[in-house]
Amino acid sequence: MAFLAQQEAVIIACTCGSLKPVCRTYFCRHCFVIRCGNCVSNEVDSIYCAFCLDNVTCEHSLSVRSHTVRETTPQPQQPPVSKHATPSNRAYYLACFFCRWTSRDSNIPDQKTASGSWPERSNTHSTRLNVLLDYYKSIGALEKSNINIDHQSYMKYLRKPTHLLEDQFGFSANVRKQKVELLKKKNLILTDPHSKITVEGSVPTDEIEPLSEDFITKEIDLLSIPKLEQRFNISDLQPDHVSQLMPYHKRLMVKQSQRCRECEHNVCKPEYNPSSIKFKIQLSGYFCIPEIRIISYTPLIAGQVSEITFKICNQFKESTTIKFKQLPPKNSEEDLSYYKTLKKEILLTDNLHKSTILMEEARIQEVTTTGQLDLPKCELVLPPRDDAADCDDLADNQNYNDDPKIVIWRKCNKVGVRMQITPNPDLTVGSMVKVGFLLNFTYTNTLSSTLENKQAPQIIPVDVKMFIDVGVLSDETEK
Amino acid sequence: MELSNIYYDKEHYVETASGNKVSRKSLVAGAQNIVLTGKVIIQCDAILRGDLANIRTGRYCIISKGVVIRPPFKKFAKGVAFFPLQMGDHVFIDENTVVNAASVGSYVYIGKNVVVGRRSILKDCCYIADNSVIPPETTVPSFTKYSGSPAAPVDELPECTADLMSAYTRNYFTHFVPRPRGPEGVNVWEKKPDIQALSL
Repeated sequence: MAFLAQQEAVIIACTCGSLKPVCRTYFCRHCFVIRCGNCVSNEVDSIYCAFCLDNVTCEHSLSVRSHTVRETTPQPQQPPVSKHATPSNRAYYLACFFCRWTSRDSNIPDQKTASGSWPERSNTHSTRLNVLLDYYKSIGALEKSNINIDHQSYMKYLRKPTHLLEDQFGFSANVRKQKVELLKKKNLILTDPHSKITVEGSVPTDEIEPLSEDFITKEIDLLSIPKLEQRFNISDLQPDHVSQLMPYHKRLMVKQSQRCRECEHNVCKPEYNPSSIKFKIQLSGYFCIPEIRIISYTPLIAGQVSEITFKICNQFKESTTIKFKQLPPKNSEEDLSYYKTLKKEILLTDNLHKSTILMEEARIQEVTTTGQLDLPKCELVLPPRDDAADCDDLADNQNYNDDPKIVIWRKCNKVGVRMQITPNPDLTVGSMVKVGFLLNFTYTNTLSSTLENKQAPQIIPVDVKMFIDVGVLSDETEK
Repeated sequence: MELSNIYYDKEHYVETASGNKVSRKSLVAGAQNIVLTGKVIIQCDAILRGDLANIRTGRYCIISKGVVIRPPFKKFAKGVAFFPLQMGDHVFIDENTVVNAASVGSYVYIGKNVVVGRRSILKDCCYIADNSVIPPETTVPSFTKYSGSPAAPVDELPECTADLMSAYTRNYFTHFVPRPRGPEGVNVWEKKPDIQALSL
């Protein structure tokens, strides 16, 4: 429950080196490695409005949608607004229930229809912006037409219709791979100077309008000056008085699925509705990696042994066996082999559909542990998660040969474990005691045993580095 | 950190057959219009205004101390009408929060001192941070964290939020236990029962 309490006491090291709470990680069930938001490829599935869940696919309806969204929720300061009809002449204006702003405050005329075409203030530089946009479009077209070196492979790339979708949906993993190869072969240079559209560069000027007398003499009314945030929301106009604030376009949301970069299988494919049965592919680390939580600990004193109890919970639908190991020494071969993505070539696509090849390095974050945990040498078997068993208060499945010194209690898929902790003797009072260990758990791969292929399920041991912020060091005298 | 036990006095709570635990010190108005599906905790000083319109909660809803659940109203030309309030499963509402929403989805966390404006819709798996004010008629989308006044999206939630929330509310329910008899079970943070008030 790391995100609810905002305490990320237990964090795990992803195979790319980033430190994340378990709920923010993924576990790829095809290549059996831990992934996080930093080391998966994100693909845009669709663009939709978060409020009405209307999904929009083509560019035309996109502009229509953003237009209508703007009308129903104009925001001088963020809050949503609805329409109010005055009964006499049936004119409509926009009103905010939060700050009592109405469209009349901004001198926006009332409309005859509720979904009326609310006027948009035109930008004085719109012609210049349009010219620049045309110029950039022509450069884009030129870049595409200039790919004629190594013609064969380019035609092969073109023949596949998927590249046509890249503008709308980003890249699929296969296209991405092809494109990396292609871009490596062709160093894109604009070779044809004749077809280039020329644009006049902007000219700097020395003439600046002098400030009016009022600027210096008149008292400032801070309530009539918009905040920076409000100005930037209308970036093309940047109003300097609250009366000029206009409703602005709402941003649409993107439904994006995550894909493992190694095997290109989906690790998460979200749905609009979280409780939908279609929301099946979600290989969150929370469901596979045993969850560890601190129950209690005795006061931590530098150099002295304290007792700490953990709750370990298996959220996976198969049973797992866990072992505790000491962390390997830093930068040893064993330690570096943990990070599966040490150096990798990836292709990034930004919003403007511009592709760049980057060398991705592992984000190994140094963690210094400030305490020693006396890890149990025995193995612990955790039964699978069973939602029905949770309702049964009398469940008795205690047939495990546990060491009573280590295992305090067992209930369904949870086990209470007792350990000894010794904070480093040089630690100062009030500083955080951090411990780390390597948790080895078994993952049962049920994918390999299908109906046709009647193999026994494959059991794979997986190592995960865990770091726990136990608590602050107490004073010896307080004991 | 694992949740520690939260003790309550058995004589101050009514426990129903479906596992609801309702404080005798809470105000449940219009009880005939309120449906608590099961394993719902309503703590002391909470107010449920079932006299205005129907209130329906799902399973494992935790309504903390001082929470006000009030069905929303809408103004019409001829007057005001109240609309029923729906609440999904595994909803946690922290202390001193006012909920005026039209519907609250499942797996929703609402923090302390929050005002959820009238006729707003909280979809499944959303998180409202402490001290936020959700303006009236707002829709809070799934997997978003809202914060501030007026509340705005600040963060995204992980995809496994539904399981995290259900684990949290189940855990809360199992740790919400009657105070054991004897000197060890005495809690310092809770006031001793007012004997005069009980005798009334």
